[in-house]
Amino acid sequence: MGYIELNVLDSAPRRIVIGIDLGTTNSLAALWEDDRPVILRQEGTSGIIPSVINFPPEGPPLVGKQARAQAVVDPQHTLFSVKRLLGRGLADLKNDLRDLPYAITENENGVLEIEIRGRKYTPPELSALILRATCDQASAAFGNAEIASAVITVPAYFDDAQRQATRDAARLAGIEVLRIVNEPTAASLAYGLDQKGEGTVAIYDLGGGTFDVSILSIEEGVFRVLATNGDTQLGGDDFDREIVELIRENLAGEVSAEDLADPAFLQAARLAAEKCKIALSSDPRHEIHLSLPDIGLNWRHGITREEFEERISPLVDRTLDCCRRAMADSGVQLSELDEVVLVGGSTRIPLVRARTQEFFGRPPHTELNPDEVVALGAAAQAQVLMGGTRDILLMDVTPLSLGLETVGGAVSKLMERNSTVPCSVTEGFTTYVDGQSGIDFNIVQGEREMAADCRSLGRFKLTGLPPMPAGMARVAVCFHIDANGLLTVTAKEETSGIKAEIEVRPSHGLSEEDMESMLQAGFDNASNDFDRRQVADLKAEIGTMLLAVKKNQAAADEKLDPESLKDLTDAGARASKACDSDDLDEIRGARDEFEQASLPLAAVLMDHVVKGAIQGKSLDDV
Amino acid sequence: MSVCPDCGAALQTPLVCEGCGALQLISGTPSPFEVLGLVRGWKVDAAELGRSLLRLTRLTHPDFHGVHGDKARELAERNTALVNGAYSTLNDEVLRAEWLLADMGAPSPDEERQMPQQFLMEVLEWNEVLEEVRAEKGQDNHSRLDGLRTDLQAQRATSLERLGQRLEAVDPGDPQTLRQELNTVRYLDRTLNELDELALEQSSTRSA
Repeated sequence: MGYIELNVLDSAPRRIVIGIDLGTTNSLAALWEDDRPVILRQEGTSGIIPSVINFPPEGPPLVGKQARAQAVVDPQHTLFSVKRLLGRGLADLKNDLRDLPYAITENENGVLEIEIRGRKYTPPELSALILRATCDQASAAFGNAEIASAVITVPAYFDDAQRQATRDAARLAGIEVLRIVNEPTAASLAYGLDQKGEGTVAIYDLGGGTFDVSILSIEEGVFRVLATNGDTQLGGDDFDREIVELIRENLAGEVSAEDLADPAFLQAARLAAEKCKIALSSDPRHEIHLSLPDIGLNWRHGITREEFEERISPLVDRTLDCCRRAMADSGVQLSELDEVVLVGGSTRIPLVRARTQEFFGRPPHTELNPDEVVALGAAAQAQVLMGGTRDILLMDVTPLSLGLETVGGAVSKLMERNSTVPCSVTEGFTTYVDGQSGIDFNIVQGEREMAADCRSLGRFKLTGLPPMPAGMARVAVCFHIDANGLLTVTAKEETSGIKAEIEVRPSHGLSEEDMESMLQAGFDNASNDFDRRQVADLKAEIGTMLLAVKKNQAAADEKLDPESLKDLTDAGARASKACDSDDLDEIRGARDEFEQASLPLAAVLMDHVVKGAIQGKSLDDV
Repeated sequence: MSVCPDCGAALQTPLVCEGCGALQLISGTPSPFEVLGLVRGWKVDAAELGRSLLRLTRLTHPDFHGVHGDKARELAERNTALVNGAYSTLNDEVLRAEWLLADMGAPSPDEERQMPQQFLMEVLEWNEVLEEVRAEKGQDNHSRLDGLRTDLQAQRATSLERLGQRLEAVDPGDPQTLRQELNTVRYLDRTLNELDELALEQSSTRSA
C-alpha cells in the first residue's frame, strides 16, 4: 500500500510563496526555485496578465486577455489602469478622468467608486480581481499549488494611502501580504542577482502608469536605497494619450465632437495609440487604421517617430527632473554611478533611451527583460522573508517627508524623505483646555511648506485622555513607518501612563467596516462558486454511477429481484434527468436516491466478488 | 555592560545579542552612540559608522524575523528603527552636534535665537543674490550660483570645525556660544538648500 500513500502525498497541492508585480498595464507572478527566481507561466504563454477587467452582462468578471478582447466591443464595461486610482481622490486625478467611458464618483470617505452595470466598485476591489487572477494563473502554472502568501510590488513613490489601498486589495483577494516592496528596489535585486553587479546603481523605472527612479548602493548582498523620486501619475498611458490627442486633432474636421467623445471611439483610439507607440519603437513611421462602421469611420493616418517624440518630450523631461532630484538627494555624483538600469515597458521607447543615456552620461543597461525584472525581484525577496537566505538584505527608504499640520496651516516635519525604513519618531503633545479629553491632528506626506499643498493621510484623533488641567497632559505619539513603507501611529499619556486611543480617519481609504462588508460580499460570491463546484462534482459522480450500472446491466438483470431492478432503472433515469438542471438540491437528492437504489446491485456484485475471492481457500487464508 | 538573557554573552549594543542573534527588549532611550556601539564624542569615523549600521541591520532587520511570528517582527521593526535613527543622527554633522548640545544641556534653537548683527547682514546679502537669480528666469546663472555655493560651503566647513574643536575639548565652554555656532551652520544649510532648489529649477529642461 506504500506507493498509494506516496501518490496521495504527491498529488496534494504544494504551498508556495510568490512575488507579484501588480502593474498598471500588466501583472505577473514569479517564484523562487532552484536558487533563482523564475516567472510562473503556463507552457507557451508569457505569463503576463493584462491588468484589464471586463464585466459581462452575466457571470463573473473577466480579467486579462479575455477582458482586453472586449475593450472595443464593450467599452463601457471594460476597465484599464485601475492601479492609477488606488488610494486617490477625485481631485488627484485630473487627466485620468478625461475620456473615461464610465462614471467615477467619490464616497464620503474620499474613496473613488466606479459604477459598472449598476454596481459600485472601489479601486481596491478592482485591483483584487487582478491579483486573484494573477494568483490563479500562477497556481495553475505550478501544478495547482496553493499560494500561501505573496510579496507585492508598488511604485517606490507610492504614498501611504496608495500602499494601504494595495494592501486592502490583497486582503480582498484573499492573499496574505508578506511584504510590500518598491518596484525599483525589486528590480535592483533581480539585476544584482543576475549580473552579480556591485557598486552604485540608478534604476530608471518607467512603466504603464507610474515612474520611479532609485539610486542604490549594492555591496556584499546589501541593497541599500540612497534616494528615490518619481511620479505616480506618469507612464506609458500618458504617451498613449498624446497619440489619442493627435488622432482627435486630425479627425476634428471629419467627425463630430460627440462621436469623438464616444466610448467606443475612445477605446478604439486608445488601443490604436498603444499599438502605434509600440510600432514606433522599431519603425520610423506607423499607419494608424481606425475602422468604426457605427460612426461611418474608416480612417488611415501615418504618424512618424519624430511627431510622436515631439509630443512626449515634455513627459520624458519630467522623468529627468525626478532623476536630478534623486541624484541630489543621494549625494552621489553622476560620475560615481557604476550602472544605469532601465526597467518597465516604456523604456523600450528610443527617445527614453536616448534621453536617459544623455542625462546619465553612459549607455544604460538593457539586458534584463524590462517586463519581468520586478516580479523576479519580488520572488527573491519572498525567499528572504521565508527564511530561505540571509545573504540578501534590502534597505529601503520612505519616498516622502512626513509631517504634522501646525496651527497656522504650515507643516512641521517629523521625518525626512529618503529616511531608511523602518523608522520612527516620537512627538510630544499637550492639551490647551482644562479637562480636554482628546487631541486632533492632521498628518501629511509631501515636500511642500503648507499642509494644504501636501497629501493628507488623514485626521488622527487622540481620545481617552484623563481629565487634567490645560497643558498638564503629556501625550507621546509615536509615528512608525514600517518595512512596507506603511505608517502606524500609537500614543500614550505619560503622566498617567494611560494608553490613549487613536482613531484614524484616512483621507482616502477604506474603513474597517467597508472592508468587512466587501469581504462578506466576497464570501457570498465564494459560496456561489462553491455551490457551482459541488454541482459539477455531483454531476460527475452520477455519470460514473450510470456507467457502472450500464457495465453491470447483465448481472443486474440476472440477479436482482424485479422490484429492485425497476427502482434502479427509474432512479438512474431521474438522476440522468436531474443533470440537465443546475439546482444543487435537486441534483443532490437525485444522486442520493440513485445511490440508495443501487445498493442491492452493489450487494450482489460484492457477493460475487467475495465468493470468487475465497473460492478454493480455507477461512484461515482469507 | 549588560548581558544577553538567552546566552549570557556581553551585549555590545542594547538592541541585539551579537552572539546568539536574540533581539533584546529595550527599556528607556539609549543614546545613538550606545545603539551603534560607538564611543560618545564629536569625532565619528564614517567607515566604522557604516560598518556598524550594516552589521546591526543584518541582525535586527524585520526581513529576518517575520518567520518567528508577529511579536518578533514587531520587536525587529522597533529595534531596526532605533538603528536607523541612530545612524541618521550620527551620520549628519548638524544632527550629531544637536544631539551632543542637547545632551550637555545647551539651549535649543528656539531658546537661543540671538545672532551677531554682522552675520545677519551677510544672510541678507545671500538672500538678495538668490532673489536676483530667481527674478532673472531664463538666464544662465549657474556660475553665479556655483560661486555662492562654494563660498557658503567653505564658511560651513570652518564653522563646523570650530564647533568640533570646542566639543572635543575638555571644557567645551559657554553653551550659548556653542549654540550660536551651530545656528550659523543651520542658517548656512537653509540657504544652501534654497540655492540647490533654485539650481534644480534652473537646470530643469522643462522651464528652459
